[in-house]
Amino acid sequence: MAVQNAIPSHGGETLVTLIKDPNEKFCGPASNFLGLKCDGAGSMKLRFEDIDGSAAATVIDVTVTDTVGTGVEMKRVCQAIAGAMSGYGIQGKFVKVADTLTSDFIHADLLSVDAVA
Amino acid sequence: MREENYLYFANNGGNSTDKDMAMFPASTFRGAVSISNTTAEFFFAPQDGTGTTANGVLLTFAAVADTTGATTANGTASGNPHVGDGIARSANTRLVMEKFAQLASGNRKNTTNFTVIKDLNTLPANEGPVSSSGISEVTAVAITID
Repeated sequence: MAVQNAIPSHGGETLVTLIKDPNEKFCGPASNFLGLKCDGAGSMKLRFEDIDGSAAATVIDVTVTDTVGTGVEMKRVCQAIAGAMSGYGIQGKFVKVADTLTSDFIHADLLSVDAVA
Repeated sequence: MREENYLYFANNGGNSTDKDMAMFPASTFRGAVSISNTTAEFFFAPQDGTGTTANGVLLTFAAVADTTGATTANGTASGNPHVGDGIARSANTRLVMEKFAQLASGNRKNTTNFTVIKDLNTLPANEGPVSSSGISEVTAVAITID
Protein backbone atom coordinates (compact mmCIF):
# COMPACT_ATOMS: atom_id res chain seq x y z
CA MET A 1 0.00 0.00 0.00
CA ALA A 2 1.34 3.40 -0.92
CA VAL A 3 2.22 5.65 1.96
CA GLN A 4 1.59 9.35 1.70
CA ASN A 5 4.67 11.26 2.75
CA ALA A 6 4.26 14.43 4.76
CA ILE A 7 4.62 17.47 2.55
CA PRO A 8 7.11 19.90 4.04
CA SER A 9 5.74 23.36 4.50
CA HIS A 10 7.86 26.46 3.90
CA GLY A 11 10.76 24.31 2.84
CA GLY A 12 10.54 22.01 5.84
CA GLU A 13 10.33 24.37 8.72
CA THR A 14 8.69 24.89 12.07
CA LEU A 15 5.55 26.99 11.84
CA VAL A 16 4.25 28.78 14.91
CA THR A 17 0.70 29.93 15.45
CA LEU A 18 -0.83 32.48 17.78
CA ILE A 19 -4.56 33.14 17.77
CA LYS A 20 -6.49 35.94 19.43
CA ASP A 21 -9.91 35.50 17.84
CA PRO A 22 -11.41 34.49 14.49
CA ASN A 23 -10.24 37.75 12.96
CA GLU A 24 -6.76 38.04 14.43
CA LYS A 25 -4.52 35.04 13.88
CA PHE A 26 -0.88 34.55 12.98
CA CYS A 27 0.92 31.57 11.52
CA GLY A 28 4.46 31.93 10.28
CA PRO A 29 7.85 30.25 10.06
CA ALA A 30 10.01 30.30 13.17
CA SER A 31 12.90 31.63 11.13
CA ASN A 32 10.92 34.86 10.65
CA PHE A 33 10.98 35.51 14.39
CA LEU A 34 12.65 38.88 15.04
CA GLY A 35 12.56 38.74 18.82
CA LEU A 36 10.40 39.70 21.74
CA LYS A 37 10.46 42.16 24.57
CA CYS A 38 8.81 42.93 27.87
CA ASP A 39 6.16 45.57 27.25
CA GLY A 40 5.17 46.09 30.87
CA ALA A 41 4.14 43.99 33.84
CA GLY A 42 2.65 40.77 32.50
CA SER A 43 2.83 41.96 28.91
CA MET A 44 5.10 40.93 26.05
CA LYS A 45 5.41 41.84 22.39
CA LEU A 46 6.52 39.19 19.92
CA ARG A 47 7.61 40.31 16.48
CA PHE A 48 7.89 38.42 13.21
CA GLU A 49 8.92 39.60 9.78
CA ASP A 50 5.86 41.02 8.14
CA ILE A 51 3.99 38.80 5.76
CA ASP A 52 2.12 41.40 3.70
CA GLY A 53 5.12 43.02 2.09
CA SER A 54 5.35 46.10 4.27
CA ALA A 55 8.47 47.03 6.17
CA ALA A 56 6.99 46.94 9.64
CA ALA A 57 7.00 43.73 11.62
CA THR A 58 3.97 41.69 12.57
CA VAL A 59 3.46 42.47 16.26
CA ILE A 60 1.71 40.07 18.62
CA ASP A 61 0.81 41.17 22.13
CA VAL A 62 0.46 38.49 24.77
CA THR A 63 -0.35 38.50 28.46
CA VAL A 64 1.58 36.39 30.92
CA THR A 65 1.30 35.76 34.64
CA ASP A 66 2.93 38.36 36.86
CA THR A 67 2.44 37.44 40.49
CA VAL A 68 5.89 36.82 41.91
CA GLY A 69 7.21 40.26 40.99
CA THR A 70 10.55 39.03 39.72
CA GLY A 71 9.49 38.41 36.14
CA VAL A 72 10.20 34.71 36.41
CA GLU A 73 6.86 33.77 34.84
CA MET A 74 7.75 35.83 31.77
CA LYS A 75 11.11 34.11 31.63
CA ARG A 76 9.46 30.68 31.77
CA VAL A 77 7.20 31.65 28.87
CA CYS A 78 10.23 32.84 26.89
CA GLN A 79 11.87 29.48 27.46
CA ALA A 80 8.73 27.69 26.28
CA ILE A 81 8.52 29.84 23.15
CA ALA A 82 12.20 29.21 22.39
CA GLY A 83 11.60 25.52 22.80
CA ALA A 84 8.54 25.65 20.56
CA MET A 85 10.52 27.28 17.80
CA SER A 86 13.39 24.82 17.94
CA GLY A 87 13.80 22.17 15.34
CA TYR A 88 13.88 24.32 12.26
CA GLY A 89 14.71 21.26 10.25
CA ILE A 90 11.72 19.22 11.32
CA GLN A 91 9.61 19.16 8.21
CA GLY A 92 6.11 20.44 8.56
CA LYS A 93 6.31 20.89 12.33
CA PHE A 94 3.33 22.97 13.40
CA VAL A 95 3.27 24.46 16.89
CA LYS A 96 0.38 26.33 18.39
CA VAL A 97 1.99 28.70 20.89
CA ALA A 98 -1.26 30.27 22.05
CA ASP A 99 -4.92 30.06 21.13
CA THR A 100 -7.18 32.29 23.16
CA LEU A 101 -10.23 30.89 21.35
CA THR A 102 -9.69 27.37 22.61
CA SER A 103 -7.59 28.25 25.69
CA ASP A 104 -4.66 26.22 24.42
CA PHE A 105 -1.35 27.65 25.56
CA ILE A 106 2.15 26.29 25.36
CA HIS A 107 2.84 27.28 28.97
CA ALA A 108 0.56 27.75 31.97
CA ASP A 109 1.89 31.28 32.51
CA LEU A 110 0.93 32.32 28.98
CA LEU A 111 -2.59 33.62 29.49
CA SER A 112 -3.86 35.23 26.29
CA VAL A 113 -3.16 36.71 22.90
CA ASP A 114 -4.33 40.31 23.02
CA ALA A 115 -3.54 41.65 19.57
CA VAL A 116 -2.17 40.53 16.22
CA ALA A 117 -1.20 43.40 13.98
CA MET B 1 18.37 24.86 7.78
CA ARG B 2 19.80 25.01 11.27
CA GLU B 3 18.39 25.32 14.72
CA GLU B 4 18.20 28.73 16.31
CA ASN B 5 19.58 29.82 19.67
CA TYR B 6 17.54 32.44 21.54
CA LEU B 7 19.40 34.94 23.71
CA TYR B 8 17.70 36.32 26.82
CA PHE B 9 18.59 39.62 28.53
CA ALA B 10 16.87 41.18 31.57
CA ASN B 11 17.67 43.99 33.97
CA ASN B 12 16.70 43.91 37.64
CA GLY B 13 13.28 45.54 37.16
CA GLY B 14 11.25 42.39 37.61
CA ASN B 15 10.06 42.47 33.99
CA SER B 16 7.57 45.14 35.02
CA THR B 17 8.25 47.98 32.58
CA ASP B 18 8.90 48.36 28.87
CA LYS B 19 12.20 46.80 27.76
CA ASP B 20 13.07 45.31 31.13
CA MET B 21 13.64 42.13 29.14
CA ALA B 22 14.30 41.12 25.56
CA MET B 23 15.00 37.92 23.66
CA PHE B 24 16.76 37.87 20.30
CA PRO B 25 17.56 35.07 17.88
CA ALA B 26 21.32 34.63 17.91
CA SER B 27 21.30 34.84 14.12
CA THR B 28 20.21 38.48 14.35
CA PHE B 29 23.38 39.47 16.22
CA ARG B 30 25.18 42.21 14.25
CA GLY B 31 28.18 42.87 16.47
CA ALA B 32 29.43 44.39 19.70
CA VAL B 33 31.20 47.64 20.47
CA SER B 34 33.23 48.66 23.47
CA ILE B 35 31.74 51.91 24.77
CA SER B 36 34.08 52.41 27.72
CA ASN B 37 36.24 50.31 30.02
CA THR B 38 33.06 49.36 31.92
CA THR B 39 30.47 49.04 29.14
CA ALA B 40 29.96 47.23 25.86
CA GLU B 41 26.91 47.31 23.63
CA PHE B 42 25.66 44.29 21.71
CA PHE B 43 23.64 45.05 18.61
CA PHE B 44 20.92 43.01 16.95
CA ALA B 45 18.78 43.40 13.85
CA PRO B 46 15.82 45.55 14.87
CA GLN B 47 12.67 43.84 16.05
CA ASP B 48 10.56 46.37 14.16
CA GLY B 49 11.38 44.58 10.94
CA THR B 50 12.76 47.62 9.12
CA GLY B 51 16.30 46.36 9.24
CA THR B 52 17.67 49.85 9.77
CA THR B 53 18.37 51.09 13.30
CA ALA B 54 19.75 48.20 15.31
CA ASN B 55 18.48 47.22 18.72
CA GLY B 56 21.12 47.39 21.41
CA VAL B 57 21.83 45.79 24.74
CA LEU B 58 24.29 47.75 26.85
CA LEU B 59 26.10 45.58 29.39
CA THR B 60 27.99 47.08 32.31
CA PHE B 61 30.84 45.41 34.14
CA ALA B 62 33.66 46.33 36.46
CA ALA B 63 36.86 47.87 35.25
CA VAL B 64 39.94 45.94 36.19
CA ALA B 65 42.28 48.08 38.23
CA ASP B 66 45.80 47.40 37.10
CA THR B 67 47.56 48.13 40.34
CA THR B 68 50.05 45.32 40.47
CA GLY B 69 52.88 44.04 38.37
CA ALA B 70 56.30 45.06 37.33
CA THR B 71 57.02 48.42 35.80
CA THR B 72 58.39 48.03 32.32
CA ALA B 73 61.28 49.92 30.81
CA ASN B 74 59.00 52.45 29.17
CA GLY B 75 56.95 52.83 32.32
CA THR B 76 56.58 56.51 32.72
CA ALA B 77 53.47 58.43 33.57
CA SER B 78 53.33 59.84 30.06
CA GLY B 79 54.36 56.64 28.31
CA ASN B 80 52.31 53.81 26.92
CA PRO B 81 49.93 52.04 29.31
CA HIS B 82 51.62 49.09 30.90
CA VAL B 83 51.22 46.59 33.70
CA GLY B 84 51.66 48.28 37.06
CA ASP B 85 50.77 51.82 36.02
CA GLY B 86 47.59 51.81 38.06
CA ILE B 87 45.31 52.64 35.17
CA ALA B 88 41.92 50.93 35.21
CA ARG B 89 41.91 48.51 32.26
CA SER B 90 39.16 46.97 30.27
CA ALA B 91 39.99 43.33 30.64
CA ASN B 92 36.35 42.52 31.29
CA THR B 93 35.36 43.85 27.87
CA ARG B 94 37.14 41.00 26.17
CA LEU B 95 36.02 38.52 28.80
CA VAL B 96 32.34 39.46 28.48
CA MET B 97 32.53 39.43 24.69
CA GLU B 98 34.23 36.04 24.78
CA LYS B 99 31.58 34.60 27.08
CA PHE B 100 28.83 36.06 24.90
CA ALA B 101 30.38 34.43 21.84
CA GLN B 102 30.52 31.09 23.63
CA LEU B 103 26.90 31.33 24.77
CA ALA B 104 25.57 32.55 21.45
CA SER B 105 27.42 29.91 19.48
CA GLY B 106 25.22 27.45 17.69
CA ASN B 107 27.92 24.83 18.04
CA ARG B 108 27.28 24.09 21.70
CA LYS B 109 26.15 20.55 22.38
CA ASN B 110 23.75 19.21 24.96
CA THR B 111 22.23 22.56 25.81
CA THR B 112 18.81 24.05 25.28
CA ASN B 113 18.23 26.74 22.67
CA PHE B 114 17.14 29.19 25.39
CA THR B 115 20.29 30.94 26.53
CA VAL B 116 20.43 33.47 29.33
CA ILE B 117 23.11 36.05 28.57
CA LYS B 118 22.22 38.05 31.68
CA ASP B 119 19.28 38.19 34.08
CA LEU B 120 19.69 40.46 37.10
CA ASN B 121 16.37 39.55 38.73
CA THR B 122 15.92 37.33 41.75
CA LEU B 123 15.81 33.84 40.33
CA PRO B 124 14.31 30.56 41.50
CA ALA B 125 16.48 27.52 42.14
CA ASN B 126 16.62 24.28 40.22
CA GLU B 127 14.83 25.39 37.05
CA GLY B 128 17.63 24.95 34.54
CA PRO B 129 18.03 27.95 32.24
CA VAL B 130 15.29 29.82 34.11
CA SER B 131 17.56 29.79 37.16
CA SER B 132 20.55 31.00 35.19
CA SER B 133 21.77 34.54 35.78
CA GLY B 134 24.19 34.42 32.85
CA ILE B 135 27.55 36.10 32.59
CA SER B 136 28.78 36.75 36.12
CA GLU B 137 30.84 39.86 35.33
CA VAL B 138 27.82 41.82 34.05
CA THR B 139 26.32 44.14 36.65
CA ALA B 140 23.72 46.10 34.64
CA VAL B 141 21.65 45.65 31.50
CA ALA B 142 20.06 48.43 29.44
CA ILE B 143 17.98 47.47 26.42
CA THR B 144 17.25 49.81 23.51
CA ILE B 145 14.48 48.80 21.14
CA ASP B 146 12.90 51.56 19.07
